[in-house]
Amino acid sequence: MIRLGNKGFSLIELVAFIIIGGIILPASLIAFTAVLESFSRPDYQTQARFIAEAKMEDITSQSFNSLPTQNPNFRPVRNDSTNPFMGSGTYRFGTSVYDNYQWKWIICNTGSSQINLPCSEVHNETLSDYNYYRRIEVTVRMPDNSTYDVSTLVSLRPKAL
Amino acid sequence: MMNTVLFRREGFTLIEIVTVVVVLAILGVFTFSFIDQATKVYIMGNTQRMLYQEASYMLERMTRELRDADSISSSSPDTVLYFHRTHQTLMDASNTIYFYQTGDADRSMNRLAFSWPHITNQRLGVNIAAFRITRSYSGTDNERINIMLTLADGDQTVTLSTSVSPKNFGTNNFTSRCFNDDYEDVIQ
Repeated sequence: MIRLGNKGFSLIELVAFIIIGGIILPASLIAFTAVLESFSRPDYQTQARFIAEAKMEDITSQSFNSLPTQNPNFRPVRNDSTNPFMGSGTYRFGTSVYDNYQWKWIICNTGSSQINLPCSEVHNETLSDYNYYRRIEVTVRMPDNSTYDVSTLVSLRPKAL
Repeated sequence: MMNTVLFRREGFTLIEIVTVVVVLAILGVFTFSFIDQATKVYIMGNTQRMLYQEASYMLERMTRELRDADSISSSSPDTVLYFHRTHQTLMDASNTIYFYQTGDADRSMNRLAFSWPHITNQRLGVNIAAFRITRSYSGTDNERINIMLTLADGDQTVTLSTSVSPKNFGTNNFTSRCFNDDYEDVIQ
């Protein structure tokens, strides 16, 4: 048997390799699993869209001069007191599907010169036609903490003027 | 003269080969279970995505029509949505519309269909597991119709629900309601 002078790996090298491998493998597994997880949840955006749409319908179905009070802080969608009793013992959005969804809605007065501004940037005091328009902003926070925003501008019905 | 020259070469011993095979087998099991899991999640994600697309299309279609309703017949059974809408379109001249769930004799799939008097059983979508209508504040201006739609394909189930307050419904205090350009009112 001819030895060509290659003495192989030392124990230190082997241990270093195992440790590095032990770190990289779980890390890549975790990253891979996270991607898979997000791929397997296409529902958040879709659910949030219809939740926001339903709340927007609630608000815009009311009289322009007595819109519901706003709710500027997030609270759970499921079994919210604004989801009325529908008979047969259930609330709208009352199933566990809606766990971990939260919503808030902001309603502000605005005027024709500021109708494109979000509520946070509207300055009421400078308006002469203040109170002719209201902006409604509905935000739904999804279980992964991202948010879905819907906003609209309402006025009195044209025939009411 | 078939004299074979035998070189004394250092080969693998049986033990080494067996060790390699065992180690490779173990690694292989991990790798394939990983790929298997990834494939399953991929298929599941695809199915769900498709169901969500179908469900949101159906819900969108129904809520758009319903938003224009000016009278809604009592929903009994609660699996039929039957209403009269205010505006015609060029394609649909009739203003009385049904949305309902229907079984199909030839297929195992359940369909959601819509009808108006001269056209019946138009297919809106398939894979329907449940379709429920509930109403709140029946007959008032802020009448609210809740629609719940559940679709299922294999072991995957998705549920979507939303509610609609028709814009041209009711007459009391009609003129004071919000206007956001959805539909022009026709009631004075």
